[in-house]
Amino acid sequence: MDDPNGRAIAETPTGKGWISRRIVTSRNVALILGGILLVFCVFGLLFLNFRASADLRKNLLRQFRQEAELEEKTVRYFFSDAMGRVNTLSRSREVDVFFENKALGMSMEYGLDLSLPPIKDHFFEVVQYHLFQGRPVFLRIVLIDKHGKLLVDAAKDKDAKPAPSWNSLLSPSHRKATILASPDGAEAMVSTAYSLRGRYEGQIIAWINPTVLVGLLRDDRLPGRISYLTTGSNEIPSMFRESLLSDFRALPDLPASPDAPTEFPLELRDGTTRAMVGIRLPIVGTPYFTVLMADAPHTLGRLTPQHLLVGMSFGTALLLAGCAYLFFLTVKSSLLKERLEHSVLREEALQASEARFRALIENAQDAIVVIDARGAVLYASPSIERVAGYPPAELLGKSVFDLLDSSEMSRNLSLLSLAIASPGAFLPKPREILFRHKDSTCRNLEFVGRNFLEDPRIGGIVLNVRDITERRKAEKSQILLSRAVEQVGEIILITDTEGIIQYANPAFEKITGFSVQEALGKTPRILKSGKHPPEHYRILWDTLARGETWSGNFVNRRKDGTTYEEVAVISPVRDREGRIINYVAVKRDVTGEKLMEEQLLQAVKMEAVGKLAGGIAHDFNNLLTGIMGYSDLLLQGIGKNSGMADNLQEIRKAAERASALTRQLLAFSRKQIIQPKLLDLRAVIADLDKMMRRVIGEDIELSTVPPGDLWKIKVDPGQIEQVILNLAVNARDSMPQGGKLVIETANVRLDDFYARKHQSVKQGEYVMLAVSDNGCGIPREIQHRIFDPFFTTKEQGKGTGLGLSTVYGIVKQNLGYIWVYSEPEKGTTFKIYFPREDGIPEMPPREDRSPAEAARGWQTLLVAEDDDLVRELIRTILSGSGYTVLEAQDGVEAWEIAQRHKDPIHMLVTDVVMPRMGGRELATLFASNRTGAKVLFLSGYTDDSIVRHGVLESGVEYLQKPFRPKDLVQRIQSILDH
Amino acid sequence: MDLFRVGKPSSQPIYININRGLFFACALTVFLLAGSICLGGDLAEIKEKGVLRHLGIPYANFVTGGGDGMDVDLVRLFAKDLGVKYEYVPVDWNELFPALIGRKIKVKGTDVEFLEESPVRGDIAANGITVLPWREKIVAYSDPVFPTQVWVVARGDSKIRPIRPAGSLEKDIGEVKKLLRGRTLLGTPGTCLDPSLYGLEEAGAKSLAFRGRLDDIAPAVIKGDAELSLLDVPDALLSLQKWPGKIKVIGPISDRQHMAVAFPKESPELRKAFNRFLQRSKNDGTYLMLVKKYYPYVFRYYPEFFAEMR
Repeated sequence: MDDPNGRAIAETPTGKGWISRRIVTSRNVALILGGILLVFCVFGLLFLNFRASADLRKNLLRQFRQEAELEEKTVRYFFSDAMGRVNTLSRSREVDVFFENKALGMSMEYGLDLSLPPIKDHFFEVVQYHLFQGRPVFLRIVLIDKHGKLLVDAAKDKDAKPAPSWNSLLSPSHRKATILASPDGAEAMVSTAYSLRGRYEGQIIAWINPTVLVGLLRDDRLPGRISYLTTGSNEIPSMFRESLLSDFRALPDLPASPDAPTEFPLELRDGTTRAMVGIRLPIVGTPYFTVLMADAPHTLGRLTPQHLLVGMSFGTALLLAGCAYLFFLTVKSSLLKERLEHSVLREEALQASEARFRALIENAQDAIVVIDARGAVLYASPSIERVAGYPPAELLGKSVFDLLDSSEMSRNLSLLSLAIASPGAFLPKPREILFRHKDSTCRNLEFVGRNFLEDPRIGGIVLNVRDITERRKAEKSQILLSRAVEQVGEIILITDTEGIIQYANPAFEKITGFSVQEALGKTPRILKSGKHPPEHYRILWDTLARGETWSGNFVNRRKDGTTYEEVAVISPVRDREGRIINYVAVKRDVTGEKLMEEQLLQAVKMEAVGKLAGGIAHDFNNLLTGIMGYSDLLLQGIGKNSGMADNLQEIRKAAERASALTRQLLAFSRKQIIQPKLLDLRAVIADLDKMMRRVIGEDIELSTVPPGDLWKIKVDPGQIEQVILNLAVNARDSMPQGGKLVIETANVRLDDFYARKHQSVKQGEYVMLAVSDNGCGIPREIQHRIFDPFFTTKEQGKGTGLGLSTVYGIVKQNLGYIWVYSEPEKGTTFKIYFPREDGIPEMPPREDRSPAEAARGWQTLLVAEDDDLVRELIRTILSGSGYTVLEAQDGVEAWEIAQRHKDPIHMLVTDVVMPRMGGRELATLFASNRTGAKVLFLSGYTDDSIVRHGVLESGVEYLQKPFRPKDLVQRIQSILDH
Repeated sequence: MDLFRVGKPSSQPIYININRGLFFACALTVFLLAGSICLGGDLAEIKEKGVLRHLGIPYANFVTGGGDGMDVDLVRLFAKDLGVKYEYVPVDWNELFPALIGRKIKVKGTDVEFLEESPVRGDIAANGITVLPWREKIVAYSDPVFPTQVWVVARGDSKIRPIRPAGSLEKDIGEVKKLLRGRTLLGTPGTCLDPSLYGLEEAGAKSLAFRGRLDDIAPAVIKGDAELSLLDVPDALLSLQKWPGKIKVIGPISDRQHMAVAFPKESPELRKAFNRFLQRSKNDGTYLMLVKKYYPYVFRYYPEFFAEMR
């Protein structure tokens, strides 16, 4: 609460809250913070001081240890020198001489004894003259033989007492000099074994002068330190013990080789105790330890870091407590003063506060309503009129439930119950209700509230109410728009002005393969296929930069690397000020449509070419019928031995080649009349195996991969053979140096995905025929042309360009699909899919091509043929074979003849395509007029009069033009006979 | 090597038998005394001449050949004591006694045969000369100067094992002689190392005469010139020190002997003067000093000899 002058005053001068606010003034806070900072600084300094002291102490301990190590090293060097000296003795010539002579078997009486005096002299020389600090290092050196007999005894003191047992000093294992110690450590010896030629012969033992050891450790190198030796069992040799016990009552039992020196109390002779520091280190290679002791306070300081820290902390705590107490007194005094001033200002502040809150509530955007536990309005702010349409006075006493939409009464009641059941609690999460406005419209209201039912000053539930009707409408509209965008089939892409993708709808994922998350933050360049020149994009951006809409096509790349084509419309999005803030692109995938277009174009092209080819074939077949027929007739007439016979044979061969070419044209144009059978493709391939091997030659390895169980297909057997042979020949030509040809078959199911990818394909079950080679392959740029008629990459004269187009035509005529997969220098695979057919396969026996014996006929035949040449030929052939021939130029004339002729006409032989009346209509009329009469259709190609989609109707007899005379006669005979 | 075999008496020489010809001995004495007047010199003559000639052969540490040696030092001190110059006269073993007494000699066992005259070249002979019976016939010895004994030595790798001392010198000698049968033995005729002095040929040893310097006997054994050799103790002690493991002492072949300084029998005053000098030296430690200098370890072997001096 503030007073009118804006000063902060306490709400209740006598309460705890008031006191706390008085204390929490900026000055006091600064003081407290300063105090805390001071405390931290002081304790920080204490800590740093502690760390420094600890480090110093650690360094002193480390230094002390180094001193001990130095002491150990000194003694070790001394021992090492002594051992070296004894080692030298063991290798001395004098010792060698004795044992060499002894080894010769010499006796002491005669010569051997002579070898000992030099040894003794040598030993004695060492005892005498090997000094340390002016003292002899060795007191005595002896040589003992391996039986423990004393051979040489060189002692400084002539009265040196003998060892209790020389045998006990033998130690063959000490091949090099070793320091030994007596159990009490008082005697230090250097012992080494003597061996001659690897055989142990004796022992040399040298007693170290203990006074040298004492002098070594009692010099002035380390002033203020006490050092002495101990044994491994911590026995202190007498030469040290006596001296030490003159100062101390007891000596410490220090651990061996610790990491750090040990601190311990030590009682002096005068009964006082002194803090000491000491360390005991082993002398490497010896049984001795060095002990270094020193007065701890002198060495490490009088106080430990811990003691120092505790003392300083205690002092600091006292000082801070005093400061805190002074601060408390100051604050208390200040509070008393402020409390007096506050009581004067409080009343004014209350009034000002009430006015301020009232103004706040009355002018708030939200309405404030207070209701009691039953929902009756106790208070409503003026804003309620804007929200609910009711003036506040009109609402007082009314139940809010009467104003709510009845459809949600139960939910509203539960919300109110929740609020009533939670005294003092907030309803912090906005809740929404439907409210009936005074104008009877339904409004969306949002409220938050707090239960003050138990507060006697308020006694109700305070609700903060806001009208969100417009917001809800906007949200619905937004959701609708969003769903539309999310579900539309076209890509909708929003970028910023830099082209960074800000939004992409699910269609983007579906079409491009990129997830929305992957696309966000990137530019549409992730889709760039490289198929467009930079100019394309420059124009796009120039258009957009001008604020115009750009539309056009893109060939883009999906995530999986495949390309697709899309039609895009990209528009700028402007803000209220007209500035371009985004670009939105709507793109439609037209890949399928493009493919359909291409396929349609291909189909139209094929149809046109087919019609052309079919038309040509019809006339060609008539001409070829004449050429072949007359050639045969002439050959029959002149005999094979005539000089003209060869020329006629050539004419006939040329006609046959032309006939084959015509058949291919018909096959390609799907005008060939076929007779589909239910087949097992494996059987067809097996039948062809021998022929294929002959066709492809020995350089090419043929392998077939049969499946376990292959479905059946319904195709023309001759045509499927032609397909396989054409593909085999094509493979052969792509492998001039030899290679591998693989023919596979398999059952496959082409699913919806495959069908969508290949527009013309219907999903379903198929039998696949794959013909693969590892030849030179087909360049990508000509792959779309390989099925075009007369397109060939072979040299002129080597191919007709009809092989693959024939295959294509046959496959299509048999309702199949063909695809080619080829990579240059790797090979080519043709995959052909024929629809599955169920039933029992039939393999018609191959036509017996052996010429039957031509029988002569006697029947009457009606021949209808519009081509004079063919008609004349037929007449000549049939007349020559004994038949009576009635001729007609077309169907109408034939029908007239049939009606006029009273005698039996046994057969109608008619062309299918004729002017005025075709063969089919003629045959129908003929059959109705002459029951039982036979009909034979002749045609080079046919329309749908006798075939349905190229498939010969059942029961129809048909002979393909061009035909040979004997074929015609045999066929007629065959029909008449049946 | 052309060795001189000794042992069997020849038919021609004159033999002097200490038991049989007193007459001859007296005659010889007269002859020598007469000869000494003109050939050698006694004390007075030496003092008159002012020089004391020391006949010596390099041998062991008595005469090292390097200008010193225990006997060299002893005689030098004696000359000094006499107040005359000292002069060392090197000779061979064969010449030693002829050069001292003025007659060549031929030794046969313990007998000596005097041959033709030989120039006298020295007044005193000292180089570790062992006192032997035949020598006592031709020269006069001083008091014992050094103890000695003759040992048999062998190469270090010889299969002959040294004897085990039996505590009796006589038994030890007997043990050694048993080992000599059929084995070659180096000796030096005319010296203390003459095998005939110890009846070694009778013991079955094959004696070989060594004609080189006495100092080279030990190297000759090491070299393999013979399986065994005789060596007196002073030389053996030195050899054992010089070549440890190369030679070994098999055992003793003689009783304890002494070495002494030899004088012409015609120089009794000189011998007396030397004996007095020697006694003084023993008394004042000079002698022990010399022993320690040249044979520091001999005290261990002959403690009784040096006992009175230490």
